[in-house]
Amino acid sequence: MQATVDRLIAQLPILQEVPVWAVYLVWMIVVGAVLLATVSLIAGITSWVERRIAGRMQSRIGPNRVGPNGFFQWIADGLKCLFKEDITPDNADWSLFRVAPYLVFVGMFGAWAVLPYSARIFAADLNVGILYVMAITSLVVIGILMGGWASGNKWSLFGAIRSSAQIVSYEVPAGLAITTAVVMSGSLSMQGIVKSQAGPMGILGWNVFNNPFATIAFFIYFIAAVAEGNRTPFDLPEAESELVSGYNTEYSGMRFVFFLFAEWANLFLIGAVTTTLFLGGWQGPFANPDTWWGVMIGGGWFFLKSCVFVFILIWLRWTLPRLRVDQLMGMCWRYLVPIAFVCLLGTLLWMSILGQRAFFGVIKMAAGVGI
Amino acid sequence: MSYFGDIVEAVVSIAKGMGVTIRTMVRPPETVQYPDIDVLDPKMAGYSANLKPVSERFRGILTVNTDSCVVDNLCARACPVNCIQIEGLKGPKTKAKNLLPGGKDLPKTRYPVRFDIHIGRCLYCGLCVEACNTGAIYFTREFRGQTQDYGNLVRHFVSESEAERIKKLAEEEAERAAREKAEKEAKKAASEEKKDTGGDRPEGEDQ
Repeated sequence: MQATVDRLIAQLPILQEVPVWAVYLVWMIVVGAVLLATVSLIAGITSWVERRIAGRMQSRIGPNRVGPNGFFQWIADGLKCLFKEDITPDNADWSLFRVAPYLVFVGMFGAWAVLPYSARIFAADLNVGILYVMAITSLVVIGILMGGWASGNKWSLFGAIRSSAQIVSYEVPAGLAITTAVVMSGSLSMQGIVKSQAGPMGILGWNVFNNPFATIAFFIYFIAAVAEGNRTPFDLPEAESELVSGYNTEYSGMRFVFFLFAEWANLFLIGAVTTTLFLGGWQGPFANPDTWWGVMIGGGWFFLKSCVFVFILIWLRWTLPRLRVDQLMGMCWRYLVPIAFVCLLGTLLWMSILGQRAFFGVIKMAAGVGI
Repeated sequence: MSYFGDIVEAVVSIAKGMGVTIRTMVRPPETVQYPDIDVLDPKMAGYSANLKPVSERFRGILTVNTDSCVVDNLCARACPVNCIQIEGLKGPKTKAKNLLPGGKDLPKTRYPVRFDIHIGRCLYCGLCVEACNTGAIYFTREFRGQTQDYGNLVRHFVSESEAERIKKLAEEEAERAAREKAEKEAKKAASEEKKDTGGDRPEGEDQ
């Protein structure tokens, strides 16, 4: 994005009179505000969508009173929580307790900076983008652990410890699956990963179609991402039926909203990162990074694919029961990690034997040989 | 190998479960949006799922058709919690329409001036409804009985004006009856006098 600002400075003489760092600072604040607004909107609307879908899946209606079809329910809930008392329990660790929600929120929000919304629409394109996403989302677990510990409540502590055990475990298969995608794309930058997935019709070049191992890696990454996002069936840190509400039991008012906000924004984030790594990000029919309408269509594809993932996550949540802690760990270490390794090695072998050719290219080649 | 068998089983069972939820999702929700949808309306306009409206045989709040009531007190006696209070007065002889299917109209000489049912006490057992010969007391499907005032739980089925009317009617009837009786006695006395003096048979007596 620095290039955009530089171009803006070159074009507008008025900006040349103020110091460059001031222009950069204002630009960063504006972009940050826009991102924050987008994230708030997406998280809020996702909360409404989730409650509506959950209702329909249980043959209920869901919130339908505030605004058309209850669309403004999230605003009503947010306002309600804003006006509620912000309580810190007596035996809580005051400073840790109060700072934990911000860490959770920052960890989630930081990842949005590098998401490739479209070819030219992004806040930052780091050359270590995907590593940055993994690193900053790990901040969430620190926030959760901090909140659970500082609450001075054993259930909260259980939730926090489960969360850290779970996220630490699931970081491994997620990392291996990400490595598979990075190997195929040859780049760590989010834009680079998406650009490498160009192909016929904008679809066949996607990493998920690159080879059979990549397809399996895609599913492994998705499962690991669900676990990292603390979503059902891996919602052990919250586990209403066992731990009251887990790490956020003692929170109230706006601090509680921060946790929920991060959870719902995380839905879209999981979808967006999965899309970027395996489903071609903004690549799709008619998406073209060189024309402005192509860029807009690309943004539409990115949003659509992410929303499909949001729906699948909600669908999973309201279908599957929660796993036990040992089942969760067993699934990670006995199934996901070995299979992810096999996928990584398989992809490497595939690429060293067949080159960059995608799955469909190989089929075409085999068909050619057959004829 | 059970390792791969487990994976296949997990995938199949997850797919099965997700099929169930998606099928439920596309069906109309069962929830009845109660105050918006009239549950007493047999069609339940605006609702499209499987739930039925309130049954025809539902025992809701009792009501009374005082025109058919013959004040025989059967319902008040049948009531195990004494929630029915009836007072009646004798009036002109008429017919009470029988509201039961296939029932015969009964002669009616007594009229209710007070017919109160305490719905706060009512058990909804239906014994009064079974006891009634004319079907004057019956269940409605109304189930909304909430009120701000305890006194409102006592339902008065005879209004004050109606009670006044019946009292007047009863007084007239009593006057008429007294007059008739007096006439009769006078007649009797006259005929007895005649008998004593003459010996002719009085007209209209015997046979």
